[in-house]
Amino acid sequence: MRSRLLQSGVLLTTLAVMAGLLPAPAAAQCSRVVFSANPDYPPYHWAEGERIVGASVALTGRILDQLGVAWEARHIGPWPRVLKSAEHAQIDLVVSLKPTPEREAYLVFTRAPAFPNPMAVFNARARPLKFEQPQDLVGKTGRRTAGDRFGDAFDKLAAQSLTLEDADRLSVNFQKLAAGRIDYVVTGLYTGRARLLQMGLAERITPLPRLVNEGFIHHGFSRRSPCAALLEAMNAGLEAARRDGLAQRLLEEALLQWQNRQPAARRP
Amino acid sequence: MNRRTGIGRLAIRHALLAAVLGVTIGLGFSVLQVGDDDRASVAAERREILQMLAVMREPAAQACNNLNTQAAQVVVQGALSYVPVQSARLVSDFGETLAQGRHDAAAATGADAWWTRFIAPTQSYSLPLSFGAAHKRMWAN
Repeated sequence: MRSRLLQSGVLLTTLAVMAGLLPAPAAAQCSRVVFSANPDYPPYHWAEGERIVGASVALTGRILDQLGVAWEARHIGPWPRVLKSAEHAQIDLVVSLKPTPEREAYLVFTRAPAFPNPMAVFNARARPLKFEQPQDLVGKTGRRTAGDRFGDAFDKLAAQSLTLEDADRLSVNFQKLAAGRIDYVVTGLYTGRARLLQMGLAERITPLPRLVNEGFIHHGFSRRSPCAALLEAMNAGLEAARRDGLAQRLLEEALLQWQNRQPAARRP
Repeated sequence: MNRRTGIGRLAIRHALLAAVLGVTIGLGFSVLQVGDDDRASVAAERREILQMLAVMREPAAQACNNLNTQAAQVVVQGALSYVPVQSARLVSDFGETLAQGRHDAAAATGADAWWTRFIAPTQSYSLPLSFGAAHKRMWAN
């Protein structure tokens, strides 16, 4: 088993090296932007069939339409797969995510944020948690959606001192919290509220008043995509959308869209 | 005296011939039997490994689809819990190893001992994976 697997590894490495020798993709033209996002992050974005929909898609689509660039909001799969696809330039753009040093290695982020996205700790109302500072979570069992990051300081603490497990879906985390199997869930404030409303758990699970941070989420172009050339234009579009309140309006519309979804379309 | 010696010599020759024939035939059949047993053993092991891989296909595909290293590690550890498996590796379609492991015992049992050259070499098995209704994505482990 080992020898063939090693051969496969050598072959894959060879292919990767060959890919690196090919002409730089930045030399190519960006005629169409394929973008994606976390498929489980309402009201910013969520998966519906093969598409991603939500406020991020509406905002990005408008900006790209104004630029006269064709686009597609594609459902790639789970969140870690979306990030990995951008790293390998299988998609051009990841919308509305938090910039982190780890992600900046393969994504170039817009300076202007797309939306505000405060991060919160959710706990069960029946088992209240004290949270004045992140260190209060040491010794408790928490969960997050795989691939989620909350800011450098919190992420470092999580890696070093917190018991913060990954799950593939936010709904699974909230179910476990409601069942008393974990102590808290960390996620975006609006995303958590939207998901709890949909699950009918908004009365049992609540965000703590102290936020993890007052974060913003930005767009990140794959560094290996020719469409990274659109960074400045996207930046200007996001800045204008924030200035005239378009981003906030789209977020509110998306929240309504999320709440009014048909039950059959609820699970991506 | 000479006749006795001649009879004696003939008997010894016959006895020797019979013994050599017996040993030769015995060795021949033993080799055939050992070869047959070896083939049956390899086939049985192959069947069992393929059954194990079939059982692990879905969790392995899920771990790969989600790029979940924790789930991948569980799958690899599950494979290694089956004693004949010496090493296992789960590779995503991006060519990255999600999890791998090997039996420490495999190295400690003298895998390079002289007699191992007479035993069939370690077999390698690779299982392509797909996930989702459309089965449009493939991985290998």
